[in-house]
Amino acid sequence: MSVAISAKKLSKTYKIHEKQEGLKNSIKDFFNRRYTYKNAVNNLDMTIEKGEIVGLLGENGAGKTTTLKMLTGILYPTSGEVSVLNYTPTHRKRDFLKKIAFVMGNKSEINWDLPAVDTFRYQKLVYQVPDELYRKNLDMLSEMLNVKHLLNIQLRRLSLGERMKMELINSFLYSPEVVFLDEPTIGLDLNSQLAIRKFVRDYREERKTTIIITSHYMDDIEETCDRVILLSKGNKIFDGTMNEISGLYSSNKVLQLVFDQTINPNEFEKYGEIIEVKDNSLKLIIKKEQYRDIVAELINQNRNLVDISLTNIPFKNIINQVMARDGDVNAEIPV
Amino acid sequence: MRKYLYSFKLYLVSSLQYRFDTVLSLVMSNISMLVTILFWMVIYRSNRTEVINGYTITDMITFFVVSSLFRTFILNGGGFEISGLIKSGELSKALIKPHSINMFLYWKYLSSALFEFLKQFLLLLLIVPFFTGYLTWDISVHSVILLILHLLTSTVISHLIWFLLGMMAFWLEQAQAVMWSFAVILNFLSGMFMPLDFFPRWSVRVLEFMPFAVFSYIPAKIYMNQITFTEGVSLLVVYISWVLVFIVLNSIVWKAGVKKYSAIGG
Amino acid sequence: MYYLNILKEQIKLSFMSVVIFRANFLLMLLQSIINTVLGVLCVEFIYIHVDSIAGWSGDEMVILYCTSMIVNQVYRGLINPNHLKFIRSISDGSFDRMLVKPVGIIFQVNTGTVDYSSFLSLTAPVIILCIKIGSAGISITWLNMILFMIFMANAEIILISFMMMIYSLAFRYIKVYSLTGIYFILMAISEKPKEIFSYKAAMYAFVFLIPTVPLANVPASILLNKGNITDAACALVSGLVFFLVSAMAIKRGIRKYSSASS
Repeated sequence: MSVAISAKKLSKTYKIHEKQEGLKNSIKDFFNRRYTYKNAVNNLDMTIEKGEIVGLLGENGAGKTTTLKMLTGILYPTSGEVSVLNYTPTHRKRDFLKKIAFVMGNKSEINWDLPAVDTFRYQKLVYQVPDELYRKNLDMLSEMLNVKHLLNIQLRRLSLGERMKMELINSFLYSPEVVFLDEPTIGLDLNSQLAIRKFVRDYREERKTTIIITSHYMDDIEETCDRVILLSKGNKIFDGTMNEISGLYSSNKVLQLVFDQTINPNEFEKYGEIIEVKDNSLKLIIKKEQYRDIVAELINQNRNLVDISLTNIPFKNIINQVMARDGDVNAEIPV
Repeated sequence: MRKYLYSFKLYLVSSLQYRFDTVLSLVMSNISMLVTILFWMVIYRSNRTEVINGYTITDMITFFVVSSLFRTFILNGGGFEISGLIKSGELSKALIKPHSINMFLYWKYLSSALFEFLKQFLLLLLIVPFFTGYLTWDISVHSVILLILHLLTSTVISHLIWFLLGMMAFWLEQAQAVMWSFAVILNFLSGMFMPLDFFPRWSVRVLEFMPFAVFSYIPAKIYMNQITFTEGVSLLVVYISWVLVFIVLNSIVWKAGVKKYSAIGG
Repeated sequence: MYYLNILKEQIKLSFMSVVIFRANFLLMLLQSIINTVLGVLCVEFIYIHVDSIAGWSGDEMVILYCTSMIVNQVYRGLINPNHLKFIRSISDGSFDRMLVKPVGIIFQVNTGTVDYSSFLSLTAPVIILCIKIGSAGISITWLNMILFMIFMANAEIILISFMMMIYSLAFRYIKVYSLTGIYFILMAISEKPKEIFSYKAAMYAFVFLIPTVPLANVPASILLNKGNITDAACALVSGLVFFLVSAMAIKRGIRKYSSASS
């Protein structure tokens, strides 16, 4: 069985207490609470193979974290089926739990007052990791994340990025088969973000672990994932590999123009959608075939062009476009 | 005035949000009182006597009931808040403001004490009519004025004592832990668990002159007409002198503390 | 065995934390001891004016008080910090973590850290208890001691189960921090003689509904040869009932949490 995770028509509806403003309403509310229902996840179908790194993208409230919670057994689905490593997550069988890890971005579970290595020893007991494997994993993980010298330092003395790395070690220590990373780089400095992305890639190469990542940061997804699933308002609006994504909107390109003086971006709006503006340069999305005509026109106008470059539409922008169209990838980007 | 009315409203609104908590905390503090009263009823019952140490059972019950009311005026919030501000470093923000933090905290916690008093008073109003046989009241206008003056003094003294304790945070890492220890001792010595005249005879007079006797013990005695007017006035003078002592102490310690705090850089 | 190893490690880790915060530990220890001493003084002061209360002499009353303190300090030291962490974890969302660990939830709710200062402060009531037994010339047989221990253990089970049951309300109400006040009331009632309940019905309510009598009254009575079989039997039954009900309450709470949480 090479399927790690399978979800069919997975749904989750919440009951939320509706609070209204003002004193009169508060008193009414005291005696009679009102509820509304929210569809957090709607009929999600998803199949993830072993060893894949899949990214779950979506705006706040799209259903990413709710989906992860259903995959790990924290939440019962309202309807639908889900199976992870052939277990039903909500049964919370011990064997199942020993094979998964759930890293929650901004909540640390490691003891603050002690060095990380003390918590790791505790984790070893909880997950019943044999001594050999423990030592091997700890060595490998602390090397990959470059924190070997920090293992014996009180956790509170470490930086946020270093603490996050310890969090990761804590979760990978017992060689889980499926790892869920919920916003793993949130709030971290750039170096830490890069280090963690590299770590995720390298670790998968080593151990062929299945990894699911949710993130706000496009770069997290772009640099680590094989596949992206896009969620919006609880619905899956896109599910495709990175190759497929870069193939989208391939009839469009990004044109970067650099001038030797300040420019007025409004003058260029007719050529295409402007996605970045600086004092003397801008980037815009154009149709591939219009490239030569546009450049010719600009040169004819004696525009003091210093540099021109044509690149593929960045991952970030493609995703934004897909989101804007609610997943309808066949619609062209208007220019 | 409108400012206070508005914050009263806000306080009520946010209280209602946590409906479970609000009702619960009021009920629980009164259950403690009830347990104490039941205990004393057993004491009187099993000794088959009307009077113990000059108190009848109705005296005892009255003592604890009015104590619960008067103790709402013990202002300890200021002390905990100042120690929190010092510890977190946020005192710097407050020091820039053009008013005395001590005064500000006094008024803040006085108003919350008034709420607590009101809540407790209303609750008692609901319950007391069923138990009139167990309580005494017999109070004159003179006594009421004396009572109010004592309670006012109690708010000032308690606030000053707690503010002084809170300032330990300038020098002590674990100020809050020490403050809780003091809380227990203060409660004990101010007659929360039993009237001060149950203490060993040699200590009673001493305790009555201590500043914390005015928290609930003396006001309760005034209410029960067990203190003559002249005695009440002279005790008031004693307590007001304590107020002055604490004002001086507070300002000395404050100056020293702020100096140290600013030296470190907040 | 699996759980024993985890417990051993927790005890070790908590101890290491204590060593780091020595001053705090000493202060908290001092505070607990002061608490006990003041409580004993209260009892002594009352007995300046009376000779006996509901058949309990001054020394016996102090012994009752100390028994209550011991039961409570064991709870405060070993279990309470974990219960508080549990209710906080529900309101800040970190309870999810407990659900993903391959360890039983009831174990996780009751264990994790040891509050050494609370736990060690039980030396105060133990010492005072021994002194009073000596000075009052009460003769204690081995049987008394063993039964005393058994019923103290039963008292612990009741206290832990009852509090766990109360805290499981956190699954429904989230902001239940003020429920910790119930513990203080339990303690206040448990240290008083059971005779404060003049009606039999009331007393039984406080054995089976809000179990304060089995917490200190029953073990102390047995130690002092004042006990009777009915009370003892009721105490044991109460222990069993609360144990089962609390486990059920937690399981149901988790089901609710996983079905409806936002």
